[in-house]
Amino acid sequence: MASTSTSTLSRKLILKSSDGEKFEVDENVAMQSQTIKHMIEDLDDINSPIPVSIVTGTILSKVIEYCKKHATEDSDSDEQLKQWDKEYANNMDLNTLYYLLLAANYMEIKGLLELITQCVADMIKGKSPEEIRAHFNIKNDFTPQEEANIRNENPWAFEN
Amino acid sequence: MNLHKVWHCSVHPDELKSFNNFKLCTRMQTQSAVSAANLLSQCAEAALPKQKRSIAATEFKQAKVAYKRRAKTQLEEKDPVQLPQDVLVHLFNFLDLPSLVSAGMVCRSWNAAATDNYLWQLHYNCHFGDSQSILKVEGLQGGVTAEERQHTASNGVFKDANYDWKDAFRRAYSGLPSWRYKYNRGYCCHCSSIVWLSNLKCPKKHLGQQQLRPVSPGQIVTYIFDGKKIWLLMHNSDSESDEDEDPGHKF
Repeated sequence: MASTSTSTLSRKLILKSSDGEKFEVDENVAMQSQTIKHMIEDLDDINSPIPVSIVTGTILSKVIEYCKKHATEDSDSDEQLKQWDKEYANNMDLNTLYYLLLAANYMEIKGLLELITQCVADMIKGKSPEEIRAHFNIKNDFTPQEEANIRNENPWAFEN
Repeated sequence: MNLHKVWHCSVHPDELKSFNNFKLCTRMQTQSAVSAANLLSQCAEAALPKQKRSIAATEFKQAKVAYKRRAKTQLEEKDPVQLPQDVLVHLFNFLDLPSLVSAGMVCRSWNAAATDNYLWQLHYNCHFGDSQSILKVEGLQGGVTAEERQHTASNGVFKDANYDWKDAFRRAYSGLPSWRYKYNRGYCCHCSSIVWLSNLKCPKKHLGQQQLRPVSPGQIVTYIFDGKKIWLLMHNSDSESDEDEDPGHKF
């Protein structure tokens, strides 16, 4: 069952999500993930599914969508690709963005990580702590004393 | 017998109303709605005849279960996963200063990430030049004690992992009042010109370290009208009399 060195161009890989969903992708698509790249190097049997353990099928399909688009670099101009990235990120709800961020971080896909990070960072920018909590549905777990201390520490950053 | 009938009739609309209220309350999905439903069920128990009372109780229980179930799925749907610290730090790297400080006030885990030492060292490098220049900056700060300054200068603690970069940044930032005017222009030593700052950085995004100096509108006017060299001369003589500026720094 050892892998035979067939033409590397058309090799297919099977990625398996945490919930058992399988995706067949071209090697050059999957190789955009550094994590998978390292996994393949250690893999004897290229035909066995590669587990992407913390990523669910729903999220993995979105990751693959991104990787596919970026695997065929020359088909689009930089400008078109940027536009595509923007629409891709804008179509995600907050929860999906969070999971994509985790997936991109785990799978080490630099471009996707930058894209999603920028997108989430833009949501934080210019908001007050209360607004950020409301937007991301985060619970304020400070004690009133702690919160007062932090507030007192920071006014210098907002001075005009 | 008659009396009972009358009483039953009179209680009927109330009873209907309370059932409706249960449904309404549970649809509202809030904690206060639940306590309202609790109160209603107590009222119902007191006012309704035995049979109706048990119906009210079942209705109430079902509503409560539905509420809890909904609250749980809502939690799963809406409450996003906690991001690990390294991802948060990476994320906060994309923020401008006030947003970063705001993010630090959101919750504990965000606070831990937003006070990350490495993050502030990066900010320090961007705004005040390389870490070495901390000596110069610290040397000019009134707020820093002589002892502290000596300590910093003598053994180069700025390379120490324990060095509090956020604090160093805060002191440097509040010590240079000109930064706080936010004219949004600065002198970039890389480009050798005055630039519009993007996010307190040179818009050309130089790799590595960049040195920026705040520039007041008055200084820009001088720069435009009298040419660069004259302005530089004037600026240097200005800074000699001005303790906030770094006299040793070459423009």
